[in-house]
Amino acid sequence: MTALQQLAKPKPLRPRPPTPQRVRDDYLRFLPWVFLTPALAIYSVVVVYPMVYSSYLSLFRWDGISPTKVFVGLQNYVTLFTQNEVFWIALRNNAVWLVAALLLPTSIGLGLALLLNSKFRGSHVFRSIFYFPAVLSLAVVGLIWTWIYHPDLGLLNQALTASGLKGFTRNWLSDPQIALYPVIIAATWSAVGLPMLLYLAGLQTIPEELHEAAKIDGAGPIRRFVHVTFPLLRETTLIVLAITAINALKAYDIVYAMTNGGPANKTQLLSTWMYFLTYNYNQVGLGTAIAVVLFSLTLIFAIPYIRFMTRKT
Amino acid sequence: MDNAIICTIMKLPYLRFLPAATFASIVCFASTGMAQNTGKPPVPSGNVTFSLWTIAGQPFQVMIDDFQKTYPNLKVKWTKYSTDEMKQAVRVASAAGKMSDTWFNWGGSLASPYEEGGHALELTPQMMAQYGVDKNIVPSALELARHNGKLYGVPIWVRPMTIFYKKSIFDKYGLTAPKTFDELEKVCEALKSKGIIPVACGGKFSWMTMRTTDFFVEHFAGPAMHDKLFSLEASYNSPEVIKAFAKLKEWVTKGYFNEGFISLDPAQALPLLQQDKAAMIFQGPWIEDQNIIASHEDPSNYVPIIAPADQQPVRVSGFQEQLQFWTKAKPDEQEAALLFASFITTPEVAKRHIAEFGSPSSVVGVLPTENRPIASQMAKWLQGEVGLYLPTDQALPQELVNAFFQAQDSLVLGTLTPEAACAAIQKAVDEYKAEHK
Repeated sequence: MTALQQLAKPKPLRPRPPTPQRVRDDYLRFLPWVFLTPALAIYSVVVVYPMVYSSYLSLFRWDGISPTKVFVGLQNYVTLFTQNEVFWIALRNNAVWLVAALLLPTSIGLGLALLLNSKFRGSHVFRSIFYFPAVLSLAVVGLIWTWIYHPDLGLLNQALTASGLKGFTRNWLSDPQIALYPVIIAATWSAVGLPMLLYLAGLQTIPEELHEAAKIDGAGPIRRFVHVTFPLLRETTLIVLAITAINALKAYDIVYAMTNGGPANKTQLLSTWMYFLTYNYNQVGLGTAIAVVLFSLTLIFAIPYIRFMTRKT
Repeated sequence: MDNAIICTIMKLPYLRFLPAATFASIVCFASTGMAQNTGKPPVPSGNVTFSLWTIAGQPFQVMIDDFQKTYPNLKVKWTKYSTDEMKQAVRVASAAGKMSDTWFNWGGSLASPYEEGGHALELTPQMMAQYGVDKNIVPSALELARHNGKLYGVPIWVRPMTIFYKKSIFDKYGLTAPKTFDELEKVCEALKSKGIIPVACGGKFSWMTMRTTDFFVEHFAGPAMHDKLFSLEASYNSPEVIKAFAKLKEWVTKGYFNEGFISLDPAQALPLLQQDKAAMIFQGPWIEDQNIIASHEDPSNYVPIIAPADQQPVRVSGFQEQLQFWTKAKPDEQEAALLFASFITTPEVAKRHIAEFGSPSSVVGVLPTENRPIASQMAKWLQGEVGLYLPTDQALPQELVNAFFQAQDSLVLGTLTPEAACAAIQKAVDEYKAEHK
């Protein structure tokens, strides 16, 4: 046998020594973090860092431009809660907005979903029509409705006048007593699409047999809705409410577009007031303090939602 | 007008006589041939792209095209913003330490934080000579742009703001342009009785209402005190200012403004004149190109008048607009940005594009074209004895602007009396002064 042949001769395979249990455990424990690292890195840079930095800035008096920041501790929070009148207006408006957002788009969305869930000619077209406002940017929605509410040239006042209801015409966005509500209506018009879609999806998961059984038992449409449909939409409702609440606290664009927080700051929300203080009035410390307050409020809804979704998964 | 008079004018505090000096200088320098660009700006040798941030409606394209044709190795990366987005973008960029190489800015307190914060490049006398700024820009426009005696930008336009009336409506009702404050009020009364809105206003952002408030303060307090209010030396609690605020409330109560004007977008105010529903508006020369000519209307139907404050010296509200430069830009990009500003303010270039680039220009010898009657009219005033005062939102520190706006708008809504509105502003002023001792 030549040397070459000897080299080419396959060596008998030796079984690989078993990996110690401890090494395997460590590997399995470490592996998910390897996969999570890219996402964590991105999340840290674009979410965690700005949040932490904003919280840090809320401890300073700073105009956002000059290189020097003056450390004032919690003074910005004290100022917000004790001296900043607009902060309280904004907080109250956020509460009104939240209640309206939980009631209006969700109930209208559910109603539309129930109507459109039944099979009739053109139901798909109607679904698209009712969902259409949801795909528009809120700035565009704001612009459309600002023109509708225009006191002299707007559709609403013109229509009321033409219908002989001139007495009902208003300066819709100028009256500080009511200015927030026309904005809420515009926001509702835009926000109905998402709950409608989620409820439609939820309705499609309810087996038809349950309705038929209830029908055989003599239940009318209302009883079927109360005892069959709505209980089975519980999970969908929870998701809709949580998303709506979080979106309501984040509301910004439509108020900015329609009233700019006015008149005289009467329609400010926490988000818009945060923006104005930070970017227009050189009070970054106060603005970021509002951001921290807003974040804390959002957690009240976000934590139960995340826990629910995680448990479900 | 001789040079001695111009020099005398220019020595006066800038808030009082700037525009008069500006346009006097334009004419004087143009006619005497003194404007010669002796500076030789350095031109970057390699391919350089620099960034330029401006407001969307500003007609920089014509200048960019000409510049890139003249300097093929230099490219402009132009980003456009809406007015408020522009303020936000520059602020965020400054905090992030990554600004545009050059950006559009107003003056006064809107620019001073960038100058004091070390973000805006100071143009030294040597640089001014090198880039021809000292020769090409009228000296008084430079004065208006100066902060604490230093120059941090190249002024491009000077923008007076005043009352415009729609000629066809005035003719229809046999009205003449008011020359005094009393006449103005009588015109308002007459228009109101005819069912026409006397003054169209879009108060959503508060600054359009502010123009009228500022005009009333100028009328009741006079130029000297008005300037002292801006420098926080006079009190907003003074009877003159209270009278001004009371007059604003009176006009609102009498219905001299359009219904619901307080929340109306400024862009929705001019259409009221275009539809013959309103007769007057407090605006600037930019409406000539951006709104009137763009709507294929005859600009001579919209006539600017000197807002009759019945004061001496005669002044209207106004400001300059400039390009500023980032201190930390890469040297070749900074050089290219400075060259761009120098290029567009070269009299030959500015004259070539005056029709498209808009007026009134801050460049020596560059006057509006005849088919721009509004800009031409304003230029004529400013060549004479009409001065400018800064609008409150550029004159007061930005921290105080909200207090002013809120007090003004609350007064309009009837939730504050004139006394209470003035007291609220003064309280904010006192707190600001205590904080910035």
